[in-house]
This record gives sequence, C-alpha cells and structure tokens, in this order.
Amino acid sequence: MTRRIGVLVVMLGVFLTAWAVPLRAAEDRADSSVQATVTVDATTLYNAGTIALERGAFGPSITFFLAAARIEPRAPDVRANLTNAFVAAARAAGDEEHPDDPGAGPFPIAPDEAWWIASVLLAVGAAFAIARAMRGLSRTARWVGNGFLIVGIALSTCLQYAAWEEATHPEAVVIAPTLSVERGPEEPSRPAVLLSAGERVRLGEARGGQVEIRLGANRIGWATREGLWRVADAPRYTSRFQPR
Amino acid sequence: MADVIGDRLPGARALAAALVALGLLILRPDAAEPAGRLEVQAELDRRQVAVGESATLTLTVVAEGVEVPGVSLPAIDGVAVQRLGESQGFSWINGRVTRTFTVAFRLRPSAEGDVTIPTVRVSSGGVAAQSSPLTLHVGKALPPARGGTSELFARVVLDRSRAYWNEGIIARFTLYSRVQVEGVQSWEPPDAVGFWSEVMGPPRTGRVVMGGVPYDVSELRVTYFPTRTGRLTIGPGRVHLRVVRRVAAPDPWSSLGLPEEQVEDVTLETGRASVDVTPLPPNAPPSFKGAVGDYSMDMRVDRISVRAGEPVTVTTLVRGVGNVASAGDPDVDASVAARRYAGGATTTIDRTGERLRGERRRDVTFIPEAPGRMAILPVRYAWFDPEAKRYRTQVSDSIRIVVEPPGAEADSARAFRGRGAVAAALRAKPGRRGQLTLEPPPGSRALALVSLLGYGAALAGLGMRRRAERDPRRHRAMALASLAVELHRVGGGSSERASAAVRIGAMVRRAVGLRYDIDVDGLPAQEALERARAAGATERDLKEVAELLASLDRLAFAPPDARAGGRFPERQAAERLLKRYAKELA
Repeated sequence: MTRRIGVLVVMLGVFLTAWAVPLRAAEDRADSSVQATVTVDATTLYNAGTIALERGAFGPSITFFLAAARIEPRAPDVRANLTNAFVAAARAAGDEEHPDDPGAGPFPIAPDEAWWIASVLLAVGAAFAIARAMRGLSRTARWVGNGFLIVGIALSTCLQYAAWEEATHPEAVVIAPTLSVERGPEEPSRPAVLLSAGERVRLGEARGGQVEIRLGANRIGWATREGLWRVADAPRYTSRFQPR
Repeated sequence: MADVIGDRLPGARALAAALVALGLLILRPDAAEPAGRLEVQAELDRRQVAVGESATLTLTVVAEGVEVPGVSLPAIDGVAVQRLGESQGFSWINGRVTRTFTVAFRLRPSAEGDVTIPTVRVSSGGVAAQSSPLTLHVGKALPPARGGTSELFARVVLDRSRAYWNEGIIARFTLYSRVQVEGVQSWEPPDAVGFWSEVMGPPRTGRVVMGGVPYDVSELRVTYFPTRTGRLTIGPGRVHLRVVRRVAAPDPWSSLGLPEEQVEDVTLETGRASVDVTPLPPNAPPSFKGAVGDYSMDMRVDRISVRAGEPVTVTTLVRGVGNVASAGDPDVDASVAARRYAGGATTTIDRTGERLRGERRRDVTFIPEAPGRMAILPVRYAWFDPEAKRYRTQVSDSIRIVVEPPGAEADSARAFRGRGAVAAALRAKPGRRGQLTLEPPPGSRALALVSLLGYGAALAGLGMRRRAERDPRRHRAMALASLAVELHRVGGGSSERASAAVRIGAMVRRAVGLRYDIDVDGLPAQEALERARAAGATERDLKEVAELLASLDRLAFAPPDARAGGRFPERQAAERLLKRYAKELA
C-alpha cells in the first residue's frame, strides 16, 4: 500500500513539476528569441506568407504559414496556401511529386487548445477523485473518472514532449535557395548534404554562425544560421513582406 | 461502506498499472516518430520468355522510418535463380528520410508454362510489406528466325498474347549474334496493321546466355496499342547490319600468314507474333475518352480573382502509363455563363522507362461576362484499368473564382503574380492571437496544477479514510455508539421496566465485550467479568459493572409495585458506562 501511494505520489510530482516548470532554460540553450513568447496575430503571419508566396519566396512563406497554422490550424486559407507553398517549393527543387499535406491531420488543433483540453480532462478526473473520496462513487463512475485522468495525463505528456522538443530542437525552415549542410569537425568525412528552400528541419546546438541541423532524430551536419528561419521567430520577419 | 473497502485494492492497482504502462508507452524512444512505412515492389523486365532464355526480376524495398530489411527470393519450381547484385539508396525530402534497397535476380525457366513469382514478404520495426505475385509466361519455342543461323538470328517476343483495345503491348525485337558485327545495326520495325506504335528509345545492347551459349544482343522495344479488336499480327521486323567474316588466307606460305576478313551486308527478319485483342467492357462512364492504362489527373487555375471580361485559364493535366496521345482530355465547365476557349493539347511522352508514359496538358480559358462568383465545376476523368479489369474515375474539387466588376481596381493581394500558386487571398480582418511556443497557456497550467493537487489531496483523503475504516478499535467504538443509540430507545415506563432491565443488562455485557475485545455472548455475568479482568479491566471498572448488572437483575425480578416510580437510575448508569467506553476506545 505504502509503495503504491509512493509511486502515485512520485508520478504526480513529476507531472506537477512538468506542468509548473517552464522550458525557458532549455530554450535559451537552443538559441531562442524573446519573440517566441510574444502573442502574435495569425492574420499578420498569414498575409506575410501569402505575399511571400506571390513573390516566389517559398522558404519564408512556408515559415509564415507554419507559424500561422500553430495559431489557427483549422483555417482553410492557411492550410490551402501552406499546401500550395509546399508544392511550389517542391517543384522549384525539381521534385514533381506532391508532398504530403502537412496540415492534413484528422483533428487539427492549436497547441494552446490541446493544452486546455488536457487541463479540463485532468480537472474532470480530479473532480471524480474528490467526489469519490468524500462520499464514494459507483465502480462505473470511478472508472470514468480514472479514464478522464489517464487521457488527460497522456495528452499532457505528449504535449510536454512536443514542447520540450520544440524548446531543445526548434523547428526551422530553409529559406536559402540551396543550403549546404557540412560535416562537423569531429565527424567522419562525407559529402555535403544540400537542402532546398522550404525544407523543414530541426535545429540543435549553435556554434558561432553555424547551427546543427537535424532531420527527425538524426543529426545530419552543420549549416550557416542565415539560411534558416525558426518558425517561432516568424513574427520578426513579417515587416519584410507587407502589401504594397 | 463495506463495498468500498472490498474493491479498493484492485481499482488502485489497476490505475497504477495503467499509469505506469501509459508512461512506458509514451516514453518509448520511438514514440515521437511517426509510424514507419515499408514497401516492396517486384518487377520483371519481360513477361514472356522462351525455354532457355532468362528474365531479370528486380525487387525494390523502400523503407521510411524503419531499417531496411534483408530480401530473399523464395524457391521457384522449375526456375534456376541467380542473384545478380544489389544496390542501396538514401534520400530525404521535406524532412523524411527514405532508404531503398534493390536486388536483381536472373530467372531461367527450364520448362514451358506459366511460372508464378511468389509473394516476397519483408518486415522491419514491426512494419511488414509484401509484393504482388507476378506471372512469367514461358513459351515452347521462340518464333522462327528468318534468314539467320545459329550464330546470327533475330526474333520478336511480345510481353502478352492477349490485350484490351488500346492497351500497351511491348514487342521486343532482338538480334542475337555470336559473330563480329561492324558498326551499328539498323532496325526497321514493322508497320503493324491495326496498331498505334511508339518506339521506346534506341536499341539496348547487352549479353545473354541462351541454352548455355552466350550471345551479344541488340534489342529494340516498341509499344503497340491496338486500334481494333480481333486477332492481330505483329512482324516481321527487319534489321540491317554489316557482318565481318573471316576468310582463309589463299597462300599459306604468305609472309604475313594472317586470315583475310570480308565485310558482308546482312538483312535479317524476325518472325511474326500474334495477339488477341478484346474489346473494352460495356457501361463505360460518360467521362471515358478512350484512355487505357494507369492515369491520374490534376487541375489548376492561373488566378482565383478576375475582373469581368478578363480571362481565367484552367489547365488540366493527365499523366500516366498508356497511350497518352489518344487518352483524351477531361471536359471543363464553369457554373456561370462565360465565353469558353479550349486550346490544343500538349503531349509529352517519356520513352526511357520500361513502359511508355507521359502527360497531356490542355488549357481552357473562360472569360466571365458579369461580376459575382464563378466556380469551375468538378472535372471528371475516367480511364480503363486493364490490370483491375474495370473503369476508374477521378473527380477534382470545384474551384471558386471571384469576378470583380469591370474596371475595378486590381487587388494586388488576389492577383496571381505567376510565381507561387496562391489559392487563398489576403485577409482584411485580424485573426486569432496566440503564442508560437508549444508551452501551456498560464490559465491551463494553473487549472492543471490545481487539478493535480486536488487529485493528490483526494488520494490522501481516501487513504486516510480507508485506514480508519480498517481499524478494529474504530469498529468497536462505532458498535458502542450504535449500542448507545439503541439503549436510548429502550422504553423507561413503569410497566415495561422489567423487560427494559433485562435488555439493558444484555447491552451492558455486550458493551464490556466490545470495550475489552472479548466474546461474552451467552456467558453468565460473573464469567464475563472474569474474562474482562483477564483482558485488562480494572477492578474499579469491574466493580461498577458488577453493581450495575446486579441492580438490573434486582429490578428485573422485583415485584411490580416495587418497580413503580419515575426514576430509572440503572439506565442512566448504563448510558454513562457506554459513553465512557466509547470515549476510551476513541
């Protein structure tokens, strides 16, 4: 009994800590910017992306649309233009195959919406637990409450992992027409990898003007920082793409 | 209350197990990765060979997100299998890493008939894939060569002997040579009556072993599309070449002693090959224009906002494997009255692959007359799939176009500038505001923290409550409390005082049993008190109880007139005793 309560207390403590502690420290290590914490208008990002797309700047337009999709993931205009930007970037890179629709999830929801859903699930689960402790509940009601709690914890864990991944390895988009990813100083010799505009990568450690490039969970080398825009930094560049 | 205690442990254990299992599931190293993709594809370079000839089977494994598994070909009856070689590839597109692994096998059947290449199964990282089975037709003998010898001859082989109308049939005109050929041979493919023909690039050269004898080969591939049904014939094809023949030296005592060589112009003919062409099934969809093969359609517009009187161009793109030149174009219509101009189709054919493929592009221009909204209606395109033996239809989405009044100021946001394909226009109103980080909003963070703390408090409260419920002293105290309530209900009237005294006496004995956790049911008072003494009762307490019980006994057996009176001190003494016991247990 004592061990079970201990396990539950430890897990609860882990979740409490995860919820309570922001990821600023990790984000700082990953070359963060203050812009990421500022609330921005999705329309500003969307319009900048649309103008960038019209000008043929596929990398910036994908960056703006990805940022807008974080705020309004179900907006049809954002999704349509994001898909068009990906298709245009792929064609410009010589790839005639249509890339998968990046925003075509079955239930596209914004991160803050997902966090709220997780919080409400946790709250409902906790309410059931409190009611059970105070006056007892039927077996069905107890399992319903446990179900809410488990789903809430699972969802919040996934979101926490995504937030940690974004804080440590922020998502970025190649904006240079061609970005050469070279091997690191301690890595064995191999040919450079060429990325084209619009390709999505994740950034790792930054050293001087170079930043580590990751594809999925794999480190593929180092590239110049100027050839990439972080999605979270998109608001700083909107002034370059304003309607004439 | 009892049911809560009874099923408490299984519920808590199941919850803890579920949480731990969930945590392990979530924290798997590959939990963040999407599910892997694995494909395996089998392809034969030819579908029909003769006994003694060989075909090449290529197995291609495409792995995305998982390791590339090894590939092996199951044994095939009547076919000698030789592994020719393998290659690997690696690519990443838009952040997706894809690995390919290709293995080539040489298949040499030893008997005529149909040989089934079995399904090849591969698995990696919990993902499995399998290829489709293939059939290799092994003929009795190659069509006879005309004008050739065992050292030099030409033949034609078709990849199938039955085909649908307008279905591609690949004819391989092959020159087999074991002699020295000068220069490049010139092929003259036949003008097959009843066929639309497309030559598949320049002849391919190589080496094959037939019947244990190596030959240099030159192969010309031609795709024929039947334009009528029935039994049709292809061939003969002709090949012109210059052969170098060695002639014995006329003078064996010549100083050089080298054999003389003579160049000879030779024309060889292949045999003929027949094919049975069947008509397409009835009930073709209305949008069927004659395409047979494997196709897909795409549709685009050059702008989504125009002024009345200005053109908007809709481009349809049909691409696939088959006779693209005769595949027809889909019909494009608008929802409102508009002038319509259909341009000519541009056909591009790719002859470099194993099968003839290409794309067909056509522009249709609409000029809307009045402002408002115009829609390009969904475009349907149908083709016949000979592999599935059925018609397939693809339908596009409709595209809405805003028609501005003539002379209106051009909206730079909506006009298409020709570089990026903008499908949606600029927004005029502000949108939703939010952060670009993936961290929780403060409100949800607070709600979650309060919820988790509340849950922890509920768990702690539940545990304390259950501990209390399991305490035997508490059980006894509660029993004493209920006994006190029962005692309070015992009637105190003069007429029922005797029975009340008996009941109160029993209650007092029971209270002594609860207080000292002993079983006194059915025991005489003296024996019950002895047991209480043994269980730790004080002499003072025993004396008080003994006096009370004796007083109650006296009252129970007293004459009726002696029980009369308003006071009932024994009952009050019993109540005090029970309260004291309950207090001591608590």
